[in-house]
Amino acid sequence: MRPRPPVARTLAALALACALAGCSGGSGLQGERPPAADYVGAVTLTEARPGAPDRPFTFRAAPGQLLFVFFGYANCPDICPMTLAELRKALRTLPPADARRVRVAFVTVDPYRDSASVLVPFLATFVDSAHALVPRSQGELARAESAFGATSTAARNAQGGVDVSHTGLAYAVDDQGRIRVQWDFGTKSATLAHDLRLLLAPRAAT
Amino acid sequence: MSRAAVLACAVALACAAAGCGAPARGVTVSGAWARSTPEGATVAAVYATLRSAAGDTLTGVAVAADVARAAQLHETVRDTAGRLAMRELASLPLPAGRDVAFEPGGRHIMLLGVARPLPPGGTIVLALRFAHAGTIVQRVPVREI
Repeated sequence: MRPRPPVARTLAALALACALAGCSGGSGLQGERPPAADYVGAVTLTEARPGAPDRPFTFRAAPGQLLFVFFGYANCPDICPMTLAELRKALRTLPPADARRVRVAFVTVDPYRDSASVLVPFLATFVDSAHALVPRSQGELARAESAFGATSTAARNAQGGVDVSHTGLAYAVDDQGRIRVQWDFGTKSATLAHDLRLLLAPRAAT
Repeated sequence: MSRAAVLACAVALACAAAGCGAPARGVTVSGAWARSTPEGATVAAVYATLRSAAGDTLTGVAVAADVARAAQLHETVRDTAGRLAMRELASLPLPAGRDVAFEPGGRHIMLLGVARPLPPGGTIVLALRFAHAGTIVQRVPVREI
């Protein structure tokens, strides 16, 4: 028997890996299946805006749009810029009209350093019109994280800095306030673009 | 003088003497790049791939004081709760003939107290110190990634 061509073998391996890792099976999405409790549309946080009053923000995309949600911090050298840079790359491959339907909601997990004046310019480096979400209390942050299955810690260290840890997943939330897919850190732009296209397609919006 | 200060001096001296293209003495540094930083950033990350023909240990890193206050070797690790955190590495072994990568999501050279934004297209200079190969001064291009 002829050996299978490399492409077929790769596809078979992908299908197997997908089955083993619990990819979002029939949906065709390449990211991870979100938690069973996928409704986050009732979670509210404080959105900080430069030169404007804070306003409440709810995790529900505008009609026909998606929210790309990430819990991170501005002084993050590796994971957060990597994730936002991959998203930026993914958005550049989408038709501009589709890219404009993806809005970033970035929740800071670093209450010590991330004010609006730090977070807003940080986000603007990567994407336009991101929502900079600055929880008013540890409890507010914890409730939002819990809804997404996320967790983080932030503590001052002996050198005067802040040690931060965070789960590092990114989420797509639809206009019904449901998490449709989540991506682990390190997910490449091609995967993000693939899933965003699928979720933005008209049939996915109904 | 602190070790960091000695290395920072080495950056300046070696750069002046060797024009920043110092021969690697058994260690090669390839694909080095620094991530450009946004306005107001206080930290930055540098990535590169190191390879030692005979085996060596990376024992330290330094950066000129006008770029950042300090440089450290960092590794991203996942804790039992699934959280990602950064851990400083005191040193990093380079097994003979094997690539050891600093790459996004894995290890990075962390610049702390970044003096001003690193714009894409710029260059910074790092000094990498090895147990056997001595100090290698490396030009690092800044890229938007």
